Amino acid sequence: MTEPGASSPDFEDQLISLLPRLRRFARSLTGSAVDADDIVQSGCIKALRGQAGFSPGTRLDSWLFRILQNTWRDELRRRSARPEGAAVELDLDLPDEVDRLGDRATLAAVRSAMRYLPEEQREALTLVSVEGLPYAEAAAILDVPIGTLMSRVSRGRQRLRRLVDGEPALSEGTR
Amino acid sequence: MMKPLSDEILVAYADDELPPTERAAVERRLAHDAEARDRLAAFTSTGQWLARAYDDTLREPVPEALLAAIRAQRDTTSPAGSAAAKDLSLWRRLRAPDWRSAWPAMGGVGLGLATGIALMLVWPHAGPLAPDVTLLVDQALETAAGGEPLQFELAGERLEITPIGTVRTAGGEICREFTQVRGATAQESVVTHGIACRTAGGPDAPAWRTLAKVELLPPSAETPGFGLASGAPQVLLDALVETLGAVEQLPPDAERQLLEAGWE
Repeated sequence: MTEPGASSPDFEDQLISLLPRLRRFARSLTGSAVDADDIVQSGCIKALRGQAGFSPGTRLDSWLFRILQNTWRDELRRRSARPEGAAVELDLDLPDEVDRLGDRATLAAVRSAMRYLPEEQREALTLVSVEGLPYAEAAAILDVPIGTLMSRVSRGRQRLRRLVDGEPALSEGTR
Repeated sequence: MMKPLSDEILVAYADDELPPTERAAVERRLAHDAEARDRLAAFTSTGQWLARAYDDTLREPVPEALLAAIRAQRDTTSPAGSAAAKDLSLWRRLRAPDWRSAWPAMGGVGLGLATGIALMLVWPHAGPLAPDVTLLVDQALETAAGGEPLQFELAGERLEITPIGTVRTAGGEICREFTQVRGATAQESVVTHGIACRTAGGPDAPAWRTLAKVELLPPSAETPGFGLASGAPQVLLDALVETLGAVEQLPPDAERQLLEAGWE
């Protein structure tokens, strides 16, 4: 960064080189390709406008994940057509698909199952398991104590496993 | 009898988040605890799945439209630049396999990202557009490059039109997406987003026909109270998608060439 508020080519280059990961993050978080690219686009624009708020020497990926995360939360709040905690019947027959098609199908089932997790578990798993961030980093992005993060990660992973294994599931807090 | 290993400890073990001494202690206990090993297996498998589940997205080339939006933001500091960069999403939403769910639901409860979206589709004829606006839109689409705002004064209001992307339809038609900002002050401005396609036109007729316009409400607006005319927008969107078919977004170079050649 040269002077505060100046548009830094460095910053932009780094942001552009992080785009594949930002898209993966957003895809996991939103469960939809369209929503994912929307939040990446508005998040990156916010980031470029607000790049003075980034502290050099800290992780740019974490900073951007946090912006995307907030963008998505705002969007969910805006949509909130479905009340929090509403039960939704899972309409997928996951295990059959998995047996038939093997590995690719397992991963497809994982992506489907992710969409049925409660938002806070999906957020935690996206940061820790999809993006591979250390727990401390993920807890800081989500602004929760590390113990809370660990409990979301463990509950999320158990629930995910049950969904992929085909346990008939009622999900709570889905969108 | 010790307390059973907690789920939190086991998941932290699976994710290699424990310090070495604690890790070794967990391993000693796992050796004698089949039930904990089962729980650990679920954490390990799900961790491995999730690490790979979105690899396809990671490997995909970043869509040109997304890069263009980011560059547009970088290349300009004007408010028009930000409007241009805000949203190339109309085409993408129309093209997306799940575009139905991406659009406002029939009851008008769904909302677009960052802005509320009110649908005002102009189809099949440009009825609701005031004739003078139509001419200015026409002028902007005919002469301005992508991301380049044209500003006008209209009845005491500021009107700014910015083409933001050009596509070629399956039928060879050239269409451009644009934003239009109109209002006396920035706060009162109404931002609309439209798609127009070039027609043969005539000496006196505008060459660009607006097919769809979407009004973007300011981000501060709460759930808007408007209801969508019963069923109509969905039907109109269907018709729009069907008519245009698949579209190919043109790179800036190709757009410039077309612009210089008068879109012929």
